[in-house]
Amino acid sequence: MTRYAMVMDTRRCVGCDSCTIACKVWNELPLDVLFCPVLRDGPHGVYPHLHMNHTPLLCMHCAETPCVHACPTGASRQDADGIVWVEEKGCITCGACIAACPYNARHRDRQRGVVIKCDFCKDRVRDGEEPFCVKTCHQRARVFGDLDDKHGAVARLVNSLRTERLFEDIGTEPQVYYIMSKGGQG
Amino acid sequence: MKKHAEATVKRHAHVWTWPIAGYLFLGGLGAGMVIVASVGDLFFGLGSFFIPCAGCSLVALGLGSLLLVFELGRPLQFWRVFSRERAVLTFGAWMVVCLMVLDAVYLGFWFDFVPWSGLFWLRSAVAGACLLLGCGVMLYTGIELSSMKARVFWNTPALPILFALSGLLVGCAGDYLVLCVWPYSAEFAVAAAGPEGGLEPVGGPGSAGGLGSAGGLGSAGSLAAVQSILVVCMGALSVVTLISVLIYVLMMYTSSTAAARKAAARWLKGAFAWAFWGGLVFIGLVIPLLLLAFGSGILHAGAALCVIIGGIFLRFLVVYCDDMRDLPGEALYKKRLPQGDEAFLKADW
Amino acid sequence: MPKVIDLRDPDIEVRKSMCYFCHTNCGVLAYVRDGEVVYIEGDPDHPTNAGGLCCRGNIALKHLDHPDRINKPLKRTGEKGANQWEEITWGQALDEIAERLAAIKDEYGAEAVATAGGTVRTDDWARRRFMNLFGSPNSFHNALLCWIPTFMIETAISGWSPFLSDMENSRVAVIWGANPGASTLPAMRGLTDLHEKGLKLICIDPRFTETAAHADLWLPIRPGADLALALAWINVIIDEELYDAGFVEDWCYGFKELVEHVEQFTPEWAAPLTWLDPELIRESARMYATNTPGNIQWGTSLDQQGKPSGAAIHARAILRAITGNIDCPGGDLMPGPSMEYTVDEELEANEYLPEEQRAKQLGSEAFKLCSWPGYRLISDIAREYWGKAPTAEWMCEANAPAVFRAILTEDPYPIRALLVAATNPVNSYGNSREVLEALKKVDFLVTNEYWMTSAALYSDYVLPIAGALERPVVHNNYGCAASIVTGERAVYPLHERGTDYWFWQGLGLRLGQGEELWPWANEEEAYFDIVEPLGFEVDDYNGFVREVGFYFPKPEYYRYKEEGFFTRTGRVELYSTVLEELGYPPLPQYCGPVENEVEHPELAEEYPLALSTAGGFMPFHHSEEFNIKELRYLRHDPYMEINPATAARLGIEDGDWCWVETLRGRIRQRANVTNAVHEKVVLVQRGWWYPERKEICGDDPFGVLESNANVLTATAEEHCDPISGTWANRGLLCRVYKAEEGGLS
Repeated sequence: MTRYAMVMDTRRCVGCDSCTIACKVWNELPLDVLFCPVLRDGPHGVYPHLHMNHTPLLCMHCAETPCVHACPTGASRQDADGIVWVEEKGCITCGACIAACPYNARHRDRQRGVVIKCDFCKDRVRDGEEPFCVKTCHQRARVFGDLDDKHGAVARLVNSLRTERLFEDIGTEPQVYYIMSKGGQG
Repeated sequence: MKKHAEATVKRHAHVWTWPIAGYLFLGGLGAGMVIVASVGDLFFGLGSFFIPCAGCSLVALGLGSLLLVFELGRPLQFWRVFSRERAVLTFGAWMVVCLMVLDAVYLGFWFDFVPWSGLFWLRSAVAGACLLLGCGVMLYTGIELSSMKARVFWNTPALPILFALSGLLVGCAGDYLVLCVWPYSAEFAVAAAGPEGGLEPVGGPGSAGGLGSAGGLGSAGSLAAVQSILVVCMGALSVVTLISVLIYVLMMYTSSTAAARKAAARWLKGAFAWAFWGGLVFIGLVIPLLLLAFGSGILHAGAALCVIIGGIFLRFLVVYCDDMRDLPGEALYKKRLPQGDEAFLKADW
Repeated sequence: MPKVIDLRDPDIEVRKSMCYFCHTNCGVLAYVRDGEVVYIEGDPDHPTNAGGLCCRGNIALKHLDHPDRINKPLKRTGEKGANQWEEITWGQALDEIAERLAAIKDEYGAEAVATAGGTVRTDDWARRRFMNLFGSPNSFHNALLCWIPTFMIETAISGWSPFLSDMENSRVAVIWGANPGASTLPAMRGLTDLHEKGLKLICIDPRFTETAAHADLWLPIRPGADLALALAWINVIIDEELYDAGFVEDWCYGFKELVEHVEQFTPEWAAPLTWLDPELIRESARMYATNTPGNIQWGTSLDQQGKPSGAAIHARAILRAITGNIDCPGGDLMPGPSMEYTVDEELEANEYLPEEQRAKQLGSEAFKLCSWPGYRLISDIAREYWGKAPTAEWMCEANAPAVFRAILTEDPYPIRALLVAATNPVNSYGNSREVLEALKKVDFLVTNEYWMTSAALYSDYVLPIAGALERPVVHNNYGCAASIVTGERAVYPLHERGTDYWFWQGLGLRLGQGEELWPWANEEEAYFDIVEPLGFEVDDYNGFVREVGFYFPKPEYYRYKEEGFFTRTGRVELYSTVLEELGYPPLPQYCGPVENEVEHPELAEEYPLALSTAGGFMPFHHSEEFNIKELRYLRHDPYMEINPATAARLGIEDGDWCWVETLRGRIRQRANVTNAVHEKVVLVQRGWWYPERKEICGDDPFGVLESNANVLTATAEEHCDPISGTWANRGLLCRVYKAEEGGLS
């Protein structure tokens, strides 16, 4: 089986917004929609002892998908390889999935009247390429691959390092794993 | 990307806005009214008093559904909402539609020309179904919102309870007002007399049975009795709702989740305080209680009106409190983004 | 777009282009169909970016086809600044400009024509060639703010600037006043990779930057106080005998004098000047000196401090030398000029500029090193050893503030014409108010631009210039490195846009400079002359790009052991004979930041906060990209960083509009209340203008004076570095106060 997942190495991320814009260009997003914002947390601490972290986001392609469950039309769906996507034809933009997603990963495209979201660049991925945000990252902070491929980079990182997932406690089983940085001099 | 050049930024994007708040209110009102009517019919033999209420419920649910469709990104595709079985929304949509149909069918029992008007057993069955579906509709909106895991102000089983209480309350108030505006008429009672005639007030002035008893209350008198029951119900539900609302907000205010505390603070002392204290608590619950307790007649009608206003405030307050748990740095990130009125947004780039 | 384009379509051709929205010049694969670039992506085989692209690179197609782009030459029809234009042809524009320049030359001399350049994206050797053949020495860039003082001082001291860090073999890297995490992302990747492998990172920056957050040691220095820190480091390294005694003995000139000179500069002496704890100064000096080999990365900060800049750069160069971190594995290598391909200087025709014209170079009397007097010395020495010289463009220029002042005051002589390329001087040069006045006043102003800017607005002619993807790009470190990276153009300039080469060549030919002096029909021909000596079997420049692409000679170590350092003493001149000959102190003398609380306590009463304008930040580069909506969406307003305690004291809350004021003027930016900066430091973002304000009214077109950091910077002669002439963007004093509601009053 294939289970696509992403590892965010926040030890490497510098919050340059490259992925944010690359994603926007590739997916031709409306001006106010960002699939891949990079949050800056900090600097925290008391000057001059500070730390700062960056959290790159995208759809978490959860194993337990509140968004897919909430969809009344079946337009939101998840493929066997874990990719969560919206079949635009069936979407009426009722907003249920937007409300259900804990990660703000779903957005209204007001011009076309559909919900849009990150789909792990499934067209690229199934063509054997990386998602565009991964490709563009100078810092190599995003690692994409098949979690079930135990020799792959994602499985290696997820299993051999302590990773965190966002809002793990609410049971969505997100498939984006964060390697946390110290964020400062330590 | 060119095609999006004119895209504007929607200020303070909420997942849902006023049409959904309106829908939640009208759904609750429609369901509440029909529940009260069904209970009156089934258990107290007061069906004929509530005839117009079923019609009003139908109108409320219809308007609510229109608002819901209006909020959709693609309104003409609304039928797709019926196409999936497991989603709460699909279930709810079916329930609303079925309830509307049942409302219409139920209404038909009071019109001679309707073929089934004489089938009393069917009327009971329909009233029973209305009761069940009404409860379903009243609860599902709350369940839908409370299932949103990261919407901290919604994500509690207390929300469906609160919505149910409020639905019943506004249902009573709605029915009360309908009875004021369109009081019981003997014609309907005659037309709708059941085959046994026992369960239903029969006859014209002077012989209409009130409260299912064989007593000789006049129609105006029995109407007053029904209204007074509704007054008692409204009063009781107002007290319970008031307590529930306060508990709800205080529960959120003492939540372990910062976002929930922030949202509750907005109700208690922030941007929404006027709506919460003024609209929901004072106009919607306290004033009605005082009027119900110490007033009469037109003042009771005023109380019912206030309750309805309070119900509207509650749905708006809840819908606009769609706060999510913030990720580290998310609040600042959002703060730094354009709000919608920046000059550069209007440039033709 | 990519979703509907099949990139494997046989009609689509892939061109190996290079980005130039900063100096990094990442490789970009451009997919071209029917003369239209349909898609771009980072070139995975490119040595710099290996497939990565930043925001600016990714959004390049928006820049290429932006609705505000000027696509035809414009000739002014109304009053200056009235924004009334007539569209004309290139031929007419060049004819008329040439005629005007000839007339000015006749009446006032060639030196009355000056040219202002900007960031690297142009063929500046062509500009220099034009100016040399025309006879004017008054070519300038904001080069002094960016590496040029560093290059010249280091070349004076060690024979060539050791700017090539041998990172792979280093044990420590000092990131001194640079923030690769927000400016040179491929470099940041390299640092991060090596950091993971154990490289130690020391970050010297007044602000807790993206890079500082990844460092092992952060030195939050007072803006502009780097000289004191460098001297204190030397003091510690000598005092604790952490220096490389063998190298110093054999290969350094003037060590004894240095020892005596720096005795006074203890960490305790530096502490109140740098606002750093003496122990932190010691710890960091030890970390650098004991983890050899190590390198010190170049950052713009030392070039941008005005008065103390030269001495600070000198002191930093001494640090490398006494620790033996020079020309060794893991240290800072001296590539020298390429012996294998044609360097820029060989294309500049410097020999055509007569001696008496060189003497007229504005500012060269006051600031000798980066103008003809110093350049002549250095290029003579270089020629003796290397056989080649550093590029004259950049390294030998008129002093920009002196030119703007000459326009305004006609002292020492008037400047009548200014030709501008690749810059909006109002944003990028110091003291913007003065610059804007000069642009309004100069008799004849020609701007090569992409869009209407405050500089273009006052021009007599605005020429539409090709951008990235529309021109080939060569990256060779200003012509001073041995490596070269090349890219081809994706498409020929769209509409009626032209290139700067076309502009200079066209003017030159019209002014009778002779076809034999301008033998290249286009950039590709000229660039082929550059790369052809490398000897690869290719037929033309594009062939070189596609077949070879880049050339990095194998690093050579310890070259000095055979030939000595390429200085007059054959050693690294800690005690610089070149600086001495030019009349400057041969050892770095301490002087404080241009404005500081120690020497100027009265000023500090009124302007109590230390200012840095070092706010380079993603996604913008200098004053560019502010009209790319998608980028602007991420950073739509200017923000200055201020410490929470200071903000609270001033009644400022996060997001408030504030005035930041120096003796030169004031600008408004919003408060980013953050403990990333010291309580007494304010850091403003650079580059701001408001291209969305298209209604031109009043004397602040496009709001270019409203939030622009350079309104605050200091360019008076006494504020500039006497050695290089660079002006002060950091280490100034300012005050901050909340702007009233609505802000602009």
